[in-house]
This record gives sequence, structure tokens and C-alpha cells, in this order.
Amino acid sequence: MSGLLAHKLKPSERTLRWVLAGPAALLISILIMASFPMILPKGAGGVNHLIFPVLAFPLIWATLIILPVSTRRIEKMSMIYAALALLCLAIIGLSIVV
Amino acid sequence: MALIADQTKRLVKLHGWIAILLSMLLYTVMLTGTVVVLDNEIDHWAQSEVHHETPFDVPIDPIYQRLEVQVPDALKETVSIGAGPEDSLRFFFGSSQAGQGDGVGNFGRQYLVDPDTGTLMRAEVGYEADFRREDAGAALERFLVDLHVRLHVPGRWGLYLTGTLGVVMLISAITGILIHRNIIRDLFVTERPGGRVVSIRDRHNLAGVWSLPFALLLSFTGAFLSFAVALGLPVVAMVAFGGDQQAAIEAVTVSGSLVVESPSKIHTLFAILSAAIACAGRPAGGMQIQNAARADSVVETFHAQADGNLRGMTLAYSGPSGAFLGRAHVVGTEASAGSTLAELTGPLHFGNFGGMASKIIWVALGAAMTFTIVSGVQLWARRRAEDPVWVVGYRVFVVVAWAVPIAMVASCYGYFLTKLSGDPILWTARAFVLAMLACAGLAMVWSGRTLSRLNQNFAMFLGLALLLLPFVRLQTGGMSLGEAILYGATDVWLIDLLVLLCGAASLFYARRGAQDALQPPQPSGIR
Repeated sequence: MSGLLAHKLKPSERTLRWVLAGPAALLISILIMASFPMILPKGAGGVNHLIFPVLAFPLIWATLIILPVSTRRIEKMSMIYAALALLCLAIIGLSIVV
Repeated sequence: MALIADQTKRLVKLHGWIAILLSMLLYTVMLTGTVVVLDNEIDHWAQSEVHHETPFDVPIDPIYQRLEVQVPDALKETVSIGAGPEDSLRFFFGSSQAGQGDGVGNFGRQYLVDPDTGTLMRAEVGYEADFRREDAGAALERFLVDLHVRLHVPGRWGLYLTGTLGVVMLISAITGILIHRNIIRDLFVTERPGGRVVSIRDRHNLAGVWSLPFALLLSFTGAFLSFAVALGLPVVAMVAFGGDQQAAIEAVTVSGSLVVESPSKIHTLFAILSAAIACAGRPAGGMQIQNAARADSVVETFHAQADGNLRGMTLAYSGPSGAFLGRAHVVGTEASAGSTLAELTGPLHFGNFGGMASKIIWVALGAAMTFTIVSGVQLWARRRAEDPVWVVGYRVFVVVAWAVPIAMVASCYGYFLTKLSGDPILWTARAFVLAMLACAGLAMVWSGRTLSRLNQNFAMFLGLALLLLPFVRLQTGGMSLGEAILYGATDVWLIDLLVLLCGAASLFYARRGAQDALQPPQPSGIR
């Protein structure tokens, strides 16, 4: 019974691709832009950590849209996306606490 | 990277769907982007101005000293000096104040001075951004640039929209590379005859492959320029600066020099300008003085790219002593990878790093990208020629594809016809909207006509409107061809020539369309 319920609740591969390439890609790219200033080196001018994430944002967003569409292992990709989101949230959380 | 058939199929779908859904907006941004590569030239053409590389051909110190004593010290936080409207020399004395839009603005006094006589032409109080917005002479150039930058959508939403379009273009370019098996062969492909699907595909591949590096570069830099201020700054400010955007701006732009608030006077600006020109190898296009009334004041001079350089130069001098402080950067206190990349995005997106030669290349590649979008939509619709939804959708796209350039030309008419006695700011925009509505109305009236005939009619309209434009410019107080050559106003005759060439090309297309219309109709009904 629980196996059947789990099967019913499991999103189809197509839905997963839509979610990962749509809202998840945008959300994670914004999280990367928000969290990377905390871990990147400041550089000689003191701005590298602020400029690089903003500069890379369009490229990161585009890549995160293309990857779930092209991959054959969508479940594995969803794990990577979840891990990436958690990592970014952890960096932001730690920077607020510390 | 070897892709299996299933992956390629999904990427082809992404390549097509993502671009087709936003095709009309992509086309508009790309077409306007191609035109506004020449924005400075269009501005000089519209205002019949001779292009001066520097506004500082006159002794500037007596004028500055005369104005400076009239302004309270509180309004000397930022002093901008440069070329103003109506060939004037513009001085703005201001300070950051809250109350403009959703943030702070530079509020203060603006003085417009006749550079030849030193006579005060106009003195106003207000926000600096408003003065720029209310400059009627620059209405046409500003309208076209705003159409490209934010599609005239107010606030940050316009930048979000064009930034997203940049990302869509980037995805189309990357997926285009991934799904293409023979990129090198497609560089030299010739269109197969017969107006078949393969012919359109050849056309799309040829334009797409040649403009591919440019598409990657332009979409990336364009998306960055849109998102940097609209999204990047607020996000970084929220996380790293507790939501204080002003603190975030200061962190990336303000140098960490010593603060000395004791009063002081500025060293002679003439001496600073002379030193700056010798150092940069180019005249200064403008200058800015920070904290002009204090002992820690800094004078910054702005210079266009010297020969062989991609980037322009900003030089900083001590206000009281005139001592050289170093090269100022757009972001950061010192040169770094981040500041270099941020400074490169502008010239690479605008194509203004190599004078007219680089601009012409950027216009040509922009035109190729615009054609790639048109041929992509054509290919998409041709493959769905039996589906009535796509038949109508393609017809709507064709109407928009003609309506946008026609409306841009109409905005030029609106500007010129109201420049002398009306309100060019209002009528430049109004003429654009009216022309779009007129095109939509005509498309409805001509709903029974074939696409060939529709193309022909719109091309005829556009061609005639373009050919008449230099005449209207001349009759509304514009500089004649003889005067333009005599006074060295290269931009005036250059844009006139381009307008006439585009008009002739459009009429030629209309005539060729007329000949094609005599051919037997295509079975699909979409051509």
C-alpha cells in the first residue's frame, strides 16, 4: 500500500524536468549569487567576491536550465540540485549566525 | 560531447520552444540593440550636432569659480562637468538625497553655460536624473535606448524582462552549439533552392552559426548589465549588507581614501585636465569632483578608449593640490580580475571600443542575429504549416516584425515634427505607439491578403518612410548635407546615408516580393 502511495506521489520524469529547469534553476542561481560573496576571496580591489557571483548569474541560470533537460539521470540531477540549494542556504545561514 | 538521440531531441525542443515563446520580444530587443549601437551618432544626427570629443576646449576655471561661489557647500558633494544640451557646458552641483523613485538621487543645481561667451544660459534646481530625462533634444536617442534596455517597462521589471531575454538568447546559443553536428560545414552552407523547409533551415543555420560567438557574448553581457543593478545588487545587499543597498554600492564603488572634512579650494581644473590628457592619451569627455568644498576632494576625469585599448580610462587627482592619485576603477579600489571584467562588459556589449569600425561590425552581427530569430520563427512555423494556430501565430509575428521598424521610423518623425514647437519627448513615444496600432489595424484590414502581399505592403511603407526621413529632418531645422560636410558633422551625413540605404533595400525587397507573388503559391501557405 505504502509502495503504491509512494509511486503515486512520485513526480513523473517530465514534471521533474520542468520543476528543475524552471523554478528550481532560478531559485538556486539566486541562492548561489547570494551565498558565494561569503566564500569567495575579496581580491586586490576588495570586490571580486561581490562581482563574480553577479557576473556569473546569467551563465549559472542558463546552465541550470539546460542540465535537467539534457541529462539522462534526472533523479541524480534532482539530488545534486537539492544538495546545491542546501549548501547555499547553509552558507547564508552560517554567515548570518557568525 | 556525444549526445544520444533522446537528449538531442529534448535539447532541440528547448532550443525551439524557449525562443519561440518570447520571439517577438527577443526580436524587438535585438533589432533595437542593432540600431542603438549607433546611439551617439543618432543623437548627433537628430540634433544636427558636430561631434566634439571634448567639451573642454574653453578656459573652464573662470566659469567654475564664478558658479562655485553661488552654491552652498552642502551641494558640493558631487560636481559633474561635461557637455550639456544645446551645445552648452553643463555644471551640476549636488548631493545624495532620498525621495527619488524608490531610492536616493543626486539633488542640486544645474547651470548651462555658453562655452564660447561664458554666458549663463539656464539655471535649474532638481534631481540630476530628471534633468537628463527632460532634455528634449536627446528625446529620440533616449527613447530608442530605453526601448532596447527595458522595453519601456517601468522600474526594475523592464530590466528583469530584458535580463531574462538575455538568458533565453544564451540558452538558445548554447543549445544551438550542442545540437549542431556540423558547425564548420554550416559556416559555408548555401541555401538549397525551392523555398522548402531545408532551404529555411540552411538560412537559419548560416546566420546562426556566423553570429554564434557574438550571440554568446552579447546575451551574456546584456543579461549581466540588466541583472547587475536590478537583481544582483539587491540580493548581495540583502545577504552581505543587511539589506542596505547604499552600503553595497559604496562597498564596490567608493575608494578607501582618508576623510578630511576641513574646507579647501580646488586646484586649477585646467592644470588637472592638461595632466590627465597627457596621461590618458585622449581628451576628457567629462569630469566629476567629489566633496568639492573639502580638503579630501578628488577630481576624476573620464577618457574614451585610446587606440589599441578595449577600455576607457578614469583618472583621479587630488582636488586641492592637483596631485595624481591613480587610475580609478568602475568598481573596487584597485585593479583586480573582478574590476577588469566589470569594466569590459560595457565596451563588449556596446561595441564602442574600436571607433566606427567596431560599431559597424557590431551592427552587422546584430543584424545577423535579428535575422537568425526571424528565420528560426519561419522554420518553426513552416514545420507546423498544417496547424491553424501556428499559421495565425506566424502571421502575427510577421506583422510585429514589420511594425517594430516602422514604429521606430515613426518615432523619428514624431521627434522631428515636434522638435521646433511641440513636445518631442511626448511625441517620440506617442508616434511609436500610434504606428504600432496603425500596423495592427492594417494587418486586420488586410487579413485576406497572402503573407507575400502583406510583406510587400509593409516593406513598401517602411522603404518610403525611410527615404522621406532625411528630407523631413532637413525641413525641420536640420543640418544640410553641405553644412554637414563643411562643419565636419560626419554623424549627420552617415546616418542620413544609412537611412537612405535601408529605405532602398526595403523597396527592393518589396519589389522582389511583388515578383515572387506572381509565382505559383506554396502548398503550405506559409512563406
